[in-house]
Amino acid sequence: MRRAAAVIAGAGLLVLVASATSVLGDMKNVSDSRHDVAAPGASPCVYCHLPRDDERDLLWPGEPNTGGQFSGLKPLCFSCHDGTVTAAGSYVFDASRPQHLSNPGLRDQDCDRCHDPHETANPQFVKVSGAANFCQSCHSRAGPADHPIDVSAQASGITPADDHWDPETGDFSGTRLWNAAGNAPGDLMKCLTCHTPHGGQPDTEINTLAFNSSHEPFLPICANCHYNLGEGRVEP
Amino acid sequence: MTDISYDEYGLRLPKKEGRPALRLLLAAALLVTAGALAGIVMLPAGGEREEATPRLRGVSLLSYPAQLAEQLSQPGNGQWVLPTSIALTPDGSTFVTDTENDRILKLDPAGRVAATFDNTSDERLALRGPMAIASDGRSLFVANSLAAQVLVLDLSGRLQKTLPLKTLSDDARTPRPIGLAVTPEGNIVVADADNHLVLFLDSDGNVLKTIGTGSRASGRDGFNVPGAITLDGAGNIYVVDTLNGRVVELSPNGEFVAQFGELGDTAGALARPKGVVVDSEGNVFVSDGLLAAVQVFSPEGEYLGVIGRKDPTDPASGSLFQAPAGLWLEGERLYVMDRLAGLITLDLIGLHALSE
Repeated sequence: MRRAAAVIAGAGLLVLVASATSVLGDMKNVSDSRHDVAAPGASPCVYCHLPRDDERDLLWPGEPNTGGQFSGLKPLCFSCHDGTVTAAGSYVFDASRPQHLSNPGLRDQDCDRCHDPHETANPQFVKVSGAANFCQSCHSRAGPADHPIDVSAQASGITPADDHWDPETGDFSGTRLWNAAGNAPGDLMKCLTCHTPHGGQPDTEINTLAFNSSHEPFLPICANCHYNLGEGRVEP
Repeated sequence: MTDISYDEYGLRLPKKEGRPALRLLLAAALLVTAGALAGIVMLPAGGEREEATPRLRGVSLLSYPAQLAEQLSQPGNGQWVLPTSIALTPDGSTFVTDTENDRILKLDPAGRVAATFDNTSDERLALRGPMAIASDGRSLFVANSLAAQVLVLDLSGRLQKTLPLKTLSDDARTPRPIGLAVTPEGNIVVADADNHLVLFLDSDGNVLKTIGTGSRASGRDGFNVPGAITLDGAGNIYVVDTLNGRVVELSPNGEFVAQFGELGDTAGALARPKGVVVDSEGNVFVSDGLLAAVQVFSPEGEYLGVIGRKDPTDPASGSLFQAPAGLWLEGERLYVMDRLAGLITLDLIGLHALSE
């Protein structure tokens, strides 16, 4: 009996240690990240996990916006990404621009569908790997079966009409070519070359360029690279 | 006490609405209970506040008395996107920063768009993320956040001056102004969010003084993302200190005087303060973008109540607001620029009126 109790206690201890390691790991990540907004001497946790009462329990903030598109995790993210604490990302909350599907208020279906504020292993606090090809972690269809990805535009003899963009300013238009790591401008075609989770063009599958065209049947998003298609010349 | 009834947001309703007596009794009971718990001394008919309240900790129990006047979510034919700040001028015009659209809208008294200021109205006007607007009655002052500038416009939207903000040291970041106010002397007080500084500029943009350490700080040392700024009648300066969850009061010379609020989500605590305004009695109104409410403090820093929350005892009960930001007070009318819900105006009744 004593041995069984010891085993159970040991297993419990292991779970505790594992949990603590996980949490502390997150804390460490936040401390080293752009989400560390702490003034000297303050914990980086308290800015989102707000002090709630005299005991200073670290709890999630109250949810004043119940229901609708602006509820759940979104208000917490917007409370900094609104042009005040940071200029980065307010376009994400522009309701007039198409955004990736989310279900506000539901765990892992809101901003946290793709982002984890504690995650620093991937760009933009995205919680899955793949960088500019991270769409593939959910959309299995994306990849070689469709338009090829990870191919070099330059090697293909293509210079997109609009390949100048700045990922830091939320530039979501034009054809965005990436470096090999998929975290900065480069020469490679990746998912986020033509798609953007935030701020896509109207009536598209969150594309960076419009589908509709005055030069049917050549879509602007295709013709931006394959510009010879509509002019009777040989496509590179 | 006069007949008072409240709607689901704790806002006082017009008398003509004729609310049920039971609701009135409940609201009155709530106020009396809250007043007793908070130690608030209701005022005699003369209207002067006799005694400051002890600090109330725990959930908010008070609705600060106010009455919804108007909600103008989409004025006229213009649709604004994430508007931030608001300023009124003596001629009755209202100016708002339509931040995500990089323009300024002039509204008529009915809330319709009367004019749009951007590079189509004045080709020299290059707005990039305008986050704050102020006026001295003759000119408009705009914090052009992503261009590191303060712009001075006349009331018809013509650019008068561009005041570039210089990077003040080698290790400093490019300034990002997100709040500003104009002093009676004509100087401009600007919040530089990325360098955590409050700058005092003369009318030509020369830096007269800086307040803060140049990096994230707290206490009397400085700021952690300074934001909206306003002045009281005596020229004292109130700065939203966003991530410290407070409003800092500075003397006209920039010395630390007091703070209102602290980081948190309980009564008198601020989660993400965004806007600030001070009434003629010195009461401080602070909008909170995360708690979706406006909280009110006495000149001594005592918590007086919350505006906009359905149930003042429950932060999760829902709110009249979604993301309240810029504030303006004209007489007893409070203008709340909500980033998502648009312009909401309320008539303040004031604690003293409740005691009459």
